[in-house]
Amino acid sequence: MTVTATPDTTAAIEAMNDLGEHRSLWSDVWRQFRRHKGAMAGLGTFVVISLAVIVGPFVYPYDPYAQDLSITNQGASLQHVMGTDNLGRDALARLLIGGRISLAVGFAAMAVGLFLGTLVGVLAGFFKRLDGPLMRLTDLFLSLPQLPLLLVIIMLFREPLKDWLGPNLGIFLLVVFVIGITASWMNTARVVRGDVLAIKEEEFVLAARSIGTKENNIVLRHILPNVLSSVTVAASLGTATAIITESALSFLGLGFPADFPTWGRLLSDGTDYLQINPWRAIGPGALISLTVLSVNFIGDGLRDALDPRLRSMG
Amino acid sequence: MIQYAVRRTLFAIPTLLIISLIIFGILDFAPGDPASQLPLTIPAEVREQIRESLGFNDPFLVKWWKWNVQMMVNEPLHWTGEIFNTCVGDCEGRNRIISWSSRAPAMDIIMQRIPQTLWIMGTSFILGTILAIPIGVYSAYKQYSLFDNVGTLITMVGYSVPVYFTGILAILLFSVRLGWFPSFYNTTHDVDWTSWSSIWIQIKQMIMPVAVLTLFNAASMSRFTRASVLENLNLEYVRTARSKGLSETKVINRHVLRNSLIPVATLIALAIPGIFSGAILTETVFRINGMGQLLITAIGQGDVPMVQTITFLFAVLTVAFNLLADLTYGFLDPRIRYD
Repeated sequence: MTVTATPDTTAAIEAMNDLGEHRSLWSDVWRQFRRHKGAMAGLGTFVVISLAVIVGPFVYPYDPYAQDLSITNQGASLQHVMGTDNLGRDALARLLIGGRISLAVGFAAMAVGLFLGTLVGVLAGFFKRLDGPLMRLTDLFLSLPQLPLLLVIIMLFREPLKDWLGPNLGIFLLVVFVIGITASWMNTARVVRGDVLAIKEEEFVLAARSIGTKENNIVLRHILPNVLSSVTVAASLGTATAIITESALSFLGLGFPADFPTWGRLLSDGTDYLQINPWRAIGPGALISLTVLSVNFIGDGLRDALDPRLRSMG
Repeated sequence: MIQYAVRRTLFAIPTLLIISLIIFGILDFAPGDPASQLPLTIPAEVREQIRESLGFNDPFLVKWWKWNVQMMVNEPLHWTGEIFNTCVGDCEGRNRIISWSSRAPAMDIIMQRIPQTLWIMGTSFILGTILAIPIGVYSAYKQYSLFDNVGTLITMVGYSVPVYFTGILAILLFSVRLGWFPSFYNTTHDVDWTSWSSIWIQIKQMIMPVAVLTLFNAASMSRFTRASVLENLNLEYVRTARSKGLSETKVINRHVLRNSLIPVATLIALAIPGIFSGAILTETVFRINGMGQLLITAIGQGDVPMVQTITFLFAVLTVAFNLLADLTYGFLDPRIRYD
């Protein structure tokens, strides 16, 4: 049977076209997202911080690693906006370069956690046999004492990895994987599992199965795109957790090596000089807080925008 | 209910065993040698004998079993003996976990540190709950009002700003600038409960750490409460309660609050590891020599038995709180019990 365009259907299509341009899921989400004031402010702040951190070190005239022992521990001045540290290095330059590492760790750890969480969630939701064991595993990870365990793992494996991959890459990978594995994948897994359990029963999955689609294709083509919205929200919250955790580790002195500035490390170093130059502590602390706050607001906005019940009202 | 409680409690035992396997495994798998600190003049074969006598060459499972016996049998027996003045088994020669750096039983040192941690953590947890629940309920009840918007912003800030930064800001403002409170916690201060000035010193040094942790705890709790109350407010039973003429206070306190606090109990249990992390960081910022600080020092010294014991204690506490929350959940919500 062929479908021919009768005048009736043509008119109906034209009427639909008049209603407005084509609306995809993500353009709808973006429209809803723009209404959320906090989320937009968060997005703006986050873009500004990212740009400052990525472009800033090229533009800013001081070298973050150059020591000048004639100007140690200076307060804020016109030459050095946030003063200098105990080795005469410019505090603002170090702050900008340190942000690169903090943000990179945040995103990389989020990606690791997201991959793990989505994998576990999809497997648990889709394959009934795996559901019990995988969810018990998730519960187990949720009841681990995260920070003590993180500290212990980093203490033990820092040296071997440093010897193996070099001080910077080794520590970076260690911190990223350890945070990804212990801190943030569990929530993603739980949310994704719940979504998959619901989507699995939908008729389009049945249709796909009845035309002979293979199991792995059902998961990849039909299920995964539908859990993307929950994954997006989990991604933003995971980034926030990862940035906070990395800073906490550096603050406790167990993150990156001392000559490798990250925000947490700078904050921890700055606390010893609070009375001489408070900016050395306030700067990194404020940037960690602002970044996490803005990412959390973005997550809130995304959650609202991706919730179809809220979207249809707007 | 009893059946549910027993089932749930029994489930905690394998969880603890697996956690102990993970903690012990990580530390055992790591490179390290108990004989490395000994003088170099000791010949190699004697060194090997020392290792042998310490059980360093035993198979992994044997070592894990021995550690579990020390941790879960010998230590509890010792402490019940201490408390009730009784003696079960070999009281004098009991094989206890010995710290490498101080050569004293690890639990004895931990017991000296626990009061500080509990003081700060307990006070801020209780204060946080007392603050968070009314704020959460009221801002959900008046959704999008000025109170709700300001409250949401403050909770978002409290939840996002790490305790090690709020702590430093508090020190900067109240200790460095204004000089109201001491910037670190003096554990040697022995509170004399009959003297006001002594109590006041204790309060003064507790204010900042407790306030910082309270802000953090209250922020996440009031977020949970608000979300849960919002979900409940739109349900049919609220309309029924209103239409049968109950006053608003009764609708909220008797019906909505009870139902909304059920999931909050679970969420708080899930937040417990975060609260512990917060306590460790707060202890570092304010130089409180509690369990967190002990852990950090032990990690710095490579004191493996001490690190294992503290990490395991944190795990036991987390599992215990989860269990408590689940039991409360089952008690409050009959549907859970028959799952």
